[in-house]
Amino acid sequence: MNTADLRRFLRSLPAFERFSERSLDALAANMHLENYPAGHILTVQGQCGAAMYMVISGRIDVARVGVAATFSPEHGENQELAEGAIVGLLSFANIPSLGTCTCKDDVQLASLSREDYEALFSQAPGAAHQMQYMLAVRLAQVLQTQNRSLRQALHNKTAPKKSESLLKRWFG
Amino acid sequence: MKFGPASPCRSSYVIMIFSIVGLRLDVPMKSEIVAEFNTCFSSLSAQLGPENVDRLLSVCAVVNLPAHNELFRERRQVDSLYLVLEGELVASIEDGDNILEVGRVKAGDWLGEVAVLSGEMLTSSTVTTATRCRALKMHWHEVEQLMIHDEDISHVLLGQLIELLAERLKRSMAAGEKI
Repeated sequence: MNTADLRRFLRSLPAFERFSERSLDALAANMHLENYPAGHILTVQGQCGAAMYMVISGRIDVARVGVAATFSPEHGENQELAEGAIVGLLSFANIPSLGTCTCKDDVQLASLSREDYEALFSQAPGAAHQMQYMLAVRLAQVLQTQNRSLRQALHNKTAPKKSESLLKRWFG
Repeated sequence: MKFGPASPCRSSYVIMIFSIVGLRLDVPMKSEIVAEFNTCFSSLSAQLGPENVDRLLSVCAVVNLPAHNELFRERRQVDSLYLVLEGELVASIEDGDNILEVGRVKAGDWLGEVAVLSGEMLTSSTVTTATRCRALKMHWHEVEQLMIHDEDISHVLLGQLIELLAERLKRSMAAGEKI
């Protein structure tokens, strides 16, 4: 795959449908194609990554522990990401990775480093603006899910106490 | 909406329209609000510049909130952003009688951005006024229009929102570790 192929690939994804042709050109030119073998660890939960990755081919396993395990209740503690998925976008806002991402197969990725993301602001403001919007939306979505999981954790913490007090009241 | 001089007759029409629509900014309030906005949101104001501050404020309404009042109830619908000018609010997550405070909101902070940006249009926490508060209210549709049609405003607003959301997420994660 070369930059032109990457550009076509980006155009086919819903996340980039609002990008102008110029913005897409700039983004593709700033991304780097990388290949990793199965088993390679891409991000570690709790550690801040240095880049955003987009899956071109292959599959990635995302494992979450602790409260973060409830971030994607539809996927449970483990989630599989495939072609077109984006990993590590929140690293641009200095947010630690929400899960540990491991390559399940031999994987090809397109990465955008933090430096390349920042360079977009002077090179192609339109592309930088679209990336900013994606980042803001992703942060808001994660915060919504995080607060839902906090509510659930609060409920789980107090539910046993409630049943204990009921048992005490009934049986002394 | 423009703030230019108007004839007495036109002014009264404008004020009448303002009172029908809600608490829109009217002509005499403009300079006071701009000054207050510049003080509370100094970084945002400096990045926007006077012309864009005017454009942003033209889609804002001033709202006054009494103390100990619920502005948002979690998981309820919201379609506006709030820029707090005065007072303090408390954001919390609730489960029955159990309340977990996830943040304090003061002058210079935003509210409602999680609901609108996530696309859920539902509040992620309950927000209650701890003191009497004043805020600027912007309908999300108007903010979206500014973002679509004006890259300068959009770039600044998104930059500020990203910083704010990242800070809120970190605070929420820290609150989670206390459970």
